[in-house]
Amino acid sequence: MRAQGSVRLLMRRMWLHLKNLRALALAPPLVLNVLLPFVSYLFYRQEGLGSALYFHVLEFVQYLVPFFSIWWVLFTLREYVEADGNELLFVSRSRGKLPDMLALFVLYQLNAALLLCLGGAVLPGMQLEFFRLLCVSVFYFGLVYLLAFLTGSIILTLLAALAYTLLALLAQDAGGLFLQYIRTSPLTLPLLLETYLPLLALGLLLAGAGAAVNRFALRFR
Amino acid sequence: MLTVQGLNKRFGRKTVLRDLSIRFDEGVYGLLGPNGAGKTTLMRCLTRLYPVPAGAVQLNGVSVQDDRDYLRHIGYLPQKFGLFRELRVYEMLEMLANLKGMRGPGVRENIERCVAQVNLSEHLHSKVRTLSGGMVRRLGIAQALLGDPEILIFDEPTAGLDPEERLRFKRVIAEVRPGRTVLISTHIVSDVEASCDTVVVLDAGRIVTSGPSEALRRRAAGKTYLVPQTDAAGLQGDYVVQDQFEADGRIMLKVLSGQPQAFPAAEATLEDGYICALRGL
Repeated sequence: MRAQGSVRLLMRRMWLHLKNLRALALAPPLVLNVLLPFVSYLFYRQEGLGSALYFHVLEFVQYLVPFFSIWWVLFTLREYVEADGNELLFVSRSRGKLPDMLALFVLYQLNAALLLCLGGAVLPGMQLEFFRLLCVSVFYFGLVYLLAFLTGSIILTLLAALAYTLLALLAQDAGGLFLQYIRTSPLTLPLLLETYLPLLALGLLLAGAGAAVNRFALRFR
Repeated sequence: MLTVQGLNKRFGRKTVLRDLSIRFDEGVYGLLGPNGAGKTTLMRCLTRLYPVPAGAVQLNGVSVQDDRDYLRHIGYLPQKFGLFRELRVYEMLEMLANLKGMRGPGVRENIERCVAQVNLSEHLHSKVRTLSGGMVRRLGIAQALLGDPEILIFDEPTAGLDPEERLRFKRVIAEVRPGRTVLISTHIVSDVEASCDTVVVLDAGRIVTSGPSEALRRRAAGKTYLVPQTDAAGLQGDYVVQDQFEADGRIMLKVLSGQPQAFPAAEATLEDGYICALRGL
């Protein structure tokens, strides 16, 4: 009963957090549900159905899906690290904000999973790419969660995430480079073990470090 | 009863609070002190934003570090307040009530009651960013009242407010004070004069003096003089120029001095007493 109440409180907080973002809250659903399908359709018009279409779409989802997985988290964290009077948000029984941010992250991942499942109906195997994207997204989450509390600046954190995305884009398909995640080859078990699971593990570590900074080393404006 | 016992707080090599001990019973306490005196640090220790040693801060005999429900007894308004500006007033308060763990059908009623106490009912569905500075400050007081806490801690609540809003704030304090411990930190002496039962003067992390505001005012009795500026050279020993004004075409100085002076005495104010306490006159 108490757990049900806590979940209801969490969901209500999530809704209010998203409402507070105004138009910014629309970016991830627009990217997932409008931009990606539209671009995929344009690729289809150009390439027709086949492996070329698959790899173009795979490339494009890797550019956008992981980066936008931290969009809601990043701009919600703005209240906690930059808003005037942010200390008030930590005068509560639950000082850690990881559950709230994880909830927003999971909401996005549910949308991404649905999108890729639907994509899998047209491009067989696309639904499995969700696991690749999830591993990278967890890394982005950990990076953003730590940097936001460490730097006290959302702009710096956003720039760091953007810089990482650009570097990954520029080093596309460069095998052996740690943290480089954009590949146009299908997901295989060795690739998952060598590239994506380490990213997932690193993301979890970074998130844990961010939680520690959140608890013990907060800055107040 | 909120008790602070031997509280020390350091940040690196800098000691901000030094062996601070005080008891807060029911009533309104004004924490006066210059910038850097430790007022905000003390308030952050009382709200557990900064960790404190076990036993250094106790509520009714229980160390706040051990009391899981301690924060339910606290309503806090920080020095700056500008959260969730894109939400409506009701939604913002709902968010803060949510973070306090308040749940159930009584939350709506509690929010509406708190908003009514600060005279913001007509703005309940306005966006926070459309409110004036004074209204935002009143909204801050409303959120501190959520859950009916017994202890209210306001950090510089009147900073930046116009005289009318400051008067309104004093009225709100008078309304919410029954049955509560209210701590108000400020460096504006006139703010504590009308509202506070007890004035605590902090300087360099220590309590300089603590007691009724009348006692602080009397501290300057017999030490306040009016001196024409042209005769200032006749002042003996140490003194502090408290004020300067023009009277009958002459520049007059209001001077505080621990030594007897050969000038007419002036009526001492609370501010004079505060300066005497700070300067050790």
